Amino acid sequence: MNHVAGSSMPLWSGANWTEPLIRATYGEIEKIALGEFGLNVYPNQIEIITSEQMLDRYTSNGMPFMYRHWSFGKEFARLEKAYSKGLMGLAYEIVINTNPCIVHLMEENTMTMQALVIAHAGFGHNHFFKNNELFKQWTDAGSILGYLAFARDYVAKCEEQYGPKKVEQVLDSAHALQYLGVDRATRPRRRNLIEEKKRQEARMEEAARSYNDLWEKTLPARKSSAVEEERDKRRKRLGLPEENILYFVEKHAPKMEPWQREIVRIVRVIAQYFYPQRQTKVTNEGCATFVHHEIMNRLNEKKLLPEGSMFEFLQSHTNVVHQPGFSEPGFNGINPYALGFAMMRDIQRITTEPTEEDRIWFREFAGKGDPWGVLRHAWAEFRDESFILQFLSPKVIRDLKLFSIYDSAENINLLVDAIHDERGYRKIRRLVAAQYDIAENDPDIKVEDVDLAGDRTLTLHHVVSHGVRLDATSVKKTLKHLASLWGYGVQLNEVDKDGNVLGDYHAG
Amino acid sequence: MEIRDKRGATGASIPNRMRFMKKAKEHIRRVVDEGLDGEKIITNPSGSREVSIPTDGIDEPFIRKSDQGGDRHRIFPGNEDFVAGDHIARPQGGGGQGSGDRAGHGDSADSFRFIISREEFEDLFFEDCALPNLSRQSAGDSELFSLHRAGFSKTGSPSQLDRVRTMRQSLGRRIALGRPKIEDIEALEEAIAEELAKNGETELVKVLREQLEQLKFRYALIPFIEPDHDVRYRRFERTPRPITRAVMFCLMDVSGSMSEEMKRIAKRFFYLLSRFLRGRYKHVDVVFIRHTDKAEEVDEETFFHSEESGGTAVSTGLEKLRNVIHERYSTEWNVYVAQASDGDNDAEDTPDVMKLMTEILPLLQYYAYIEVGEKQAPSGLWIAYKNIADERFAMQEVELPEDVVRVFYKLFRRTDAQRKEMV
Repeated sequence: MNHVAGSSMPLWSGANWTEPLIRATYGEIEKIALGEFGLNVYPNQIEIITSEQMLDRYTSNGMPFMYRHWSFGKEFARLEKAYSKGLMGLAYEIVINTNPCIVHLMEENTMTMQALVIAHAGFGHNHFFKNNELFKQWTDAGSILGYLAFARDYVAKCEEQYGPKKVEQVLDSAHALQYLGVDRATRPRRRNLIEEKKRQEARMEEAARSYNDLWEKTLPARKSSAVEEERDKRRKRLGLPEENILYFVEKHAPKMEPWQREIVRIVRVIAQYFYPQRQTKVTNEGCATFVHHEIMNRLNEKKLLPEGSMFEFLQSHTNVVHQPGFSEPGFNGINPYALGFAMMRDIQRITTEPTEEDRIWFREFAGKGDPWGVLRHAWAEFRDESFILQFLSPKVIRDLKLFSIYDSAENINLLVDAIHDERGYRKIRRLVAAQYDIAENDPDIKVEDVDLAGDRTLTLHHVVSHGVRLDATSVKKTLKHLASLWGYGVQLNEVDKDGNVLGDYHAG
Repeated sequence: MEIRDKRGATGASIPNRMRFMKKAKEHIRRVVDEGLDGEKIITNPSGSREVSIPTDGIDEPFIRKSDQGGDRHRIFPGNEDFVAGDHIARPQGGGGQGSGDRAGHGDSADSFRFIISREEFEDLFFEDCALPNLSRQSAGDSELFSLHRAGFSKTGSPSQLDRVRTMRQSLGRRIALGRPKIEDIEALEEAIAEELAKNGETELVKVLREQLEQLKFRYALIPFIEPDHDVRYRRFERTPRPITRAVMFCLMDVSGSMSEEMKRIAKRFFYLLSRFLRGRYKHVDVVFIRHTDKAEEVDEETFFHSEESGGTAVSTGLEKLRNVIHERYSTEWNVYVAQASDGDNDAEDTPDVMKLMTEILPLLQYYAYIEVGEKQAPSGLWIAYKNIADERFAMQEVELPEDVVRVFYKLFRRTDAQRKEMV
C-alpha cells in the first residue's frame, strides 16, 4: 500500500472510505502540502463523526465542548431544520484554531470528500491559523481547549451552586454584549489554564473583602470646574473611555457576585478568541479553498485519484466558490470563498503569467514566480481588509463584475458611483476592503462615564459615522441586558463626531 | 496525525436542546396567554401540521447599526449594464437589500421562526387546562365500576359468606371465652357412670355431677357460632373503570339572527373543545345538532354552512340532545356539550328549556354555553341560564373571534386545587 510520488495507482476506488485509506491519503496530501507547497501546520487530529455531531459542532462555533446554554439548543434546532429540509448542506468542515487541529470527517462522506476535507481544513485552515499574525497575536491555540474545559466546568458548577436560572440570566446578558466584549487595539495577555484557575480563586478570596472603588470613592458634587476636574480624574482612574464593555462590566459593575463576573469573563474571553476569525473570512476561507484546490489537482496529476473522483471534487468545489450576481436567485452578498479563491488564483497567475496591467498594479511580485511564497506571505501578514486593499486586482474586479452603489439618505435615488472599469478599480478596491473592516462596520460604542456621585448610571456613547445610527430595537433589547449586569441604570447616547447628542436610550 | 472515531458519543447537544425546548415552552405559553395569534394557530384546521412561533421571547439581541439612513456604499457582484453615474430608484423598504457583510449574523437569527408540530403545540396549549369542577368524574374516571376483592366484612349477602374466616373467628371466641369441649363433657359423663357402677351414689358422684352441670351450662351459654360476632363475608370494593370514550355535542342556534361572524366564533370554540377532548380521550365522537324552532342532527359541513330560517326554540335542540344521549351514549361515554347561541330565544320556550336542562345535566360531564355576538342587554336565554346552579354548567360571553381563546381558558383553566392534586 505504499505509494510513492509518480505512482500511477489510484489511492482508492469507489466511494467508501476506510481508516487505512484515510491514513494513506493523508500521507500523500501531507507530502504535497508540506513538501511542495511549503505549508506549516499544527499536528492534525482527525475525528470521524456523524452528521448530528457535525450539527453539534456547528452550534458551538466549532468548539469541541462548550458550557451549556439554551441558545446553542436553539441554533441546533434552526440548523437541523434547515439541514433536514435540504436548505443547507453541511459545509466541508468546521475548524477552529487549536493545537492539535481538529479535523472533522463525516461518516457519510465519500472518500473523495474526506480527501477534500483533509486538504481544506487539515492543511488550508490549519496553515492559516498557525501562521496568520492576527491569530498568533490574539489567540493561543495551545490553551483554548483547556480554557473551554475550564469554562464548561465552571459554568456547570455555578449552575449547581446558584441554580440554572441565575446562571442563564448572566449568560443571556453577557451573550447580548459579546460583540462589545473585544479589545480591538490592545493585545491581551496570554494566560494558561493554571493561571486562569489561580486568578479565579484569588478573585473569590478577594470577594470577601470586596473593595469597590465605585462605592468607596463617591464624593459629593462640587462646583462646576471642580466637578469637571473630578470627572476627568474619575474617568482616568476607571480607564475611560473603554471600548470593551464586557471588560468594564466585569471589573466595575457594583453589584455583581464574583461568580457572575467570572461568567462574564468567560463569554468575553471566548468572544475575543473568535475576533480574529471575524476579521479573516476571505483570507482564511480563500486560503483553505485554494489549498484544497491545488492539492486535489496535484493528487490528480500524480494519478492518485480514481476515475470520477476529480469530477466529484470539481462539482463540490464549484458549488462552494459560486458567486451569484446581485440580481440572481441565491444572492446573499459577496461569497468569501469565491472572493478569496478568485484573488488567490489571481495572485498565482500574476506571479507566473502577468499581463501589462498586472505589472503596473503589482510591481513587487508580478512575473517574479514563486506563487506559494507570495501567498504564504499574504496569509501570514494580512487580514481581510488589508489583504483586499493590497491584492484585489482589476482582473478579479472585472471577473466578478463588481460595482458600487452609493446610498445617501439625502438622495431620492441610489447612485452607481463606480463599476469595473479603469476609473472604478481603485475606488471599488477601497470600498470592498472597507466592507470587510470589522472595526469600521461594528458600531463604535464606548463606556464614557459612570455617575458615581449620583445614581451610578453607566453612560455609553455611540459615535455615529456617516450618519448611520443604531437599530433602535436592537439597542433597546441589548441595553436591558447591560442594565441587568450593571445593576443600575444604563444610558446610551448617540453622538456625532463633534460630540453633539443625536439621540439617547435608557434602560434599567 | 491521529484518527479518532467519535461516532459513539452522540447527544452532546441534548441538554442544550432541552433547555431551549423548556424556554420555548415558557415563551409559547406566554404568547398564548397574551392571546397573541394563539387562536389563529389552533383554530385554523386547514393549516399545516406545523405551527410557527415568533421568537421575540427567545431572541438573542445585540446592538447593530441600522440598515437605513445615513451615507453608505455597498459593493455588489454581477453588474450587467450599469455605468458609473447611473441613478437607480431606491428599492422599496429603504436601502436594506441584503448587503454583503451585514446580512450574515443578526438577520438570520431574527428571521428564525420556531416550528413545532401541531401535536406538540396542543400539548403546550392545553397544558394548564383541566376539565373543570369534576374531580370525581374528570377524564379517565367515570360512573362505571368494576369489583375487586377488598378484605372481609361483617355484613354481606349469604352467597359471599366466607366459611373459613367465620370458623376461625368462632374458634378464637370459643377459646377466649372457655367454651367446654364436647369431649370434656362426654369424659365427665363416662367418669360418673363408671363411679356409679362401681360404688353407687357416692360424694364423688355428686361433685362430678355438679361439675357436669356447670360444663353443660357453659356449653349451652356460649354458642358454637355467634352470628353477630363470628360471621364474615367476602367484601368487594367498586373501583371506577376509566371510560376512554367521549362524545361532544355541538349545539348551535342557526336561526336568522345568528350572523356568519357569530358562527365563526362558535366554530372556533367547538374546534378548541374538540381538540382539547381529543387530547384527553382515546376516542371522541362529535355530534352536531342545529336548531331553529326545530332541531336536527347534521354533519359538520351542513352545521356550519347552510342557512336556515325560522324562530328560535332552544328546547328543541335540548330535546334532540337528550334523545341522542339516550339512544347512543347513555353508558360508557363521557358526555360534553358545547352550546352556542346569540341568546335570542322565544320567551315562551324558556320554561321548557329549564325543565330539559335539569333533566339533561345529570347525564353529562360538562355543559358549556357561550353566548356570541355583541350585546347591549343580557339576553333571555342568558338570564334563564343564570339560574342554573350546577357545577357541570358554565357559561361565558364571547364578543369577538379573538376572544375565544381567552374564554376557553377561563372555562377550563386548571384550578389551584387541581394543580395541587397534580403535584
